[in-house]
Amino acid sequence: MNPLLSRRSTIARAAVVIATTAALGHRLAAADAAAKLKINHSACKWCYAKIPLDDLCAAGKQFGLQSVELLEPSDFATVKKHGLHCAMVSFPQRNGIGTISKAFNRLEHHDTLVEIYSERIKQCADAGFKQLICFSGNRAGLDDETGLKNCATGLKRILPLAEKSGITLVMELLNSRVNHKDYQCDKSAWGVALCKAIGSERFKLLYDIYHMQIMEGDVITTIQRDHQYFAHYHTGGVPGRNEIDDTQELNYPAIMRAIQATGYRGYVGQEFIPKRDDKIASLKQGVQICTI
Amino acid sequence: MKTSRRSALKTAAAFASASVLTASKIRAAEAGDHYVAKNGRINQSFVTWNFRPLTIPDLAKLAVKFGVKSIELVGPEHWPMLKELGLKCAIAGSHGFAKGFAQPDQHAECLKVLEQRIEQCAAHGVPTVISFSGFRKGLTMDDATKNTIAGLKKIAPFAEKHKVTVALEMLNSKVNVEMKGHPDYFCDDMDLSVRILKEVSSPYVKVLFDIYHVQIMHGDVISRLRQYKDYIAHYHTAGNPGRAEIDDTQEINYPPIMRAIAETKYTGFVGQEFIPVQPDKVKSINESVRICDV
Repeated sequence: MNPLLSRRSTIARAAVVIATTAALGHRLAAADAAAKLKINHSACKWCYAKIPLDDLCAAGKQFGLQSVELLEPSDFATVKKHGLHCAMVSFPQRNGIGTISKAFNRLEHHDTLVEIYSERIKQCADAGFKQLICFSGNRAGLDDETGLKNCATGLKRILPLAEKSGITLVMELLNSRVNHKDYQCDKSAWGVALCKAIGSERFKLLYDIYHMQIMEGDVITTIQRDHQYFAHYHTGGVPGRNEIDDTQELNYPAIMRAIQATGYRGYVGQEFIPKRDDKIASLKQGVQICTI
Repeated sequence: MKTSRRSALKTAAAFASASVLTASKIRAAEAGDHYVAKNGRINQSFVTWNFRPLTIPDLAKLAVKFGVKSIELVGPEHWPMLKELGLKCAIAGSHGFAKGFAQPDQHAECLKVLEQRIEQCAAHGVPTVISFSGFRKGLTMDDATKNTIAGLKKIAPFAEKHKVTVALEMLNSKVNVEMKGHPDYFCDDMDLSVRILKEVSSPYVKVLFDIYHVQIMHGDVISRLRQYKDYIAHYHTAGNPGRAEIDDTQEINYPPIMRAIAETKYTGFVGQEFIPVQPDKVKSINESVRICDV
């Protein structure tokens, strides 16, 4: 045997081993990164109004639910008991101020909002929950430019506390064609303009896929373009806001892959109203559809 | 001269290899293992420009093979071949999208093309002919709307007389990529399209509901097609974003949309108008037939 050849072949073999190990290392790291970017699953409590929260948590955990959201502080202990998160805390309100139709787009609501949001931010921080929902309110004759300015004015009064507490205020985009007639924050472009006007990492948008499909369509392109302004996502079948399966027009797995590809590390909240009798089975199906 | 000859040879070689490839794929599909439309609730059709290098005769053969009943937006010179294969032309081409009724100085040209095409359609049993608004080119919305209504009103009596429907296509004006969107196209809104049709008020002037374009401009596809069913003369498909395959790589879930179309008692055709990105175009076409055969 030619010793040189033998030596050469040993070196070659060693190189192959090293290269393989390195490649495997890369692959493992990549798999790890991908695992970290799996869609985190959440469900909105109000869609299961007849099911006690305790039961919803227990059932959801069985199929990978990690959060139940849009909770009042009085519910926090229940989800914590199950080791679950609350990815989006519900809004505070006083005399109707703070609700979907009466919120930040009116200057006369701001004093009340500052007070009730300050309290809610502290409750979120104490519980270790990071995101708190808010709304624009209805137009009621207010033009979009003034509504945006007013929202920015009011939110800026609360943001110093939110920033200090590490809580993100998240304004929800809702449809004004079917469910919330006259709601002002009904287009992603308006919401993005508001984010830019405010310029804080602690103010973002809730991109509700159901609502935005009704208002503007072009879901994946919008997510790809504006994801840096989206702190949270909601689901729902279109039309009807029921199960997100093959009975409706959106292809949710493709949308989830697009969200994942943006590097999103947050949660996707199932917010459909189950039509079928076994509501927990419908939720399980929703979670499975969004598991990619 | 040398360069020119070389480039000609290159083109010829590329063409030859493309045809060989295509032919072998068609044979593979013919060899079985393909889906044949069987449910009869949606009449399917193939648009052709988007499936190049497959030729119109290639697509006609595939249509027969896959249980698809029409090849569309092809000129009258192809209609005898289609008839021989037992196929229809669901909708005839006419003037292109770059010209249309939004511009008064383009009316005469569009009317001339449409009148000739309507007569040909009537003679060959082609039920529908396409038309477009053309671009806005700085006109106000009001003026462009009025012009489009006026132009369509001029063709309506002729269409009625020959019982051929003129289908005004709505296109997206958002995507600035060639053949995937048309910035400044005037008729980019379904509500606007139907407002125009209501003014024209003819049972033979309707809209072409392109699901891809509607999804880009509006969303809420099923609600819209239910709302406007009486004004829809034809449908087109494509995946969004990208206008590629209509499968689960994109955001539009086609089977429930097809079921919704069938539930509106629609008796016209759905034209596949996606641009395949998969190397095996024949397979993509067959898959689209399966997806829409609800």
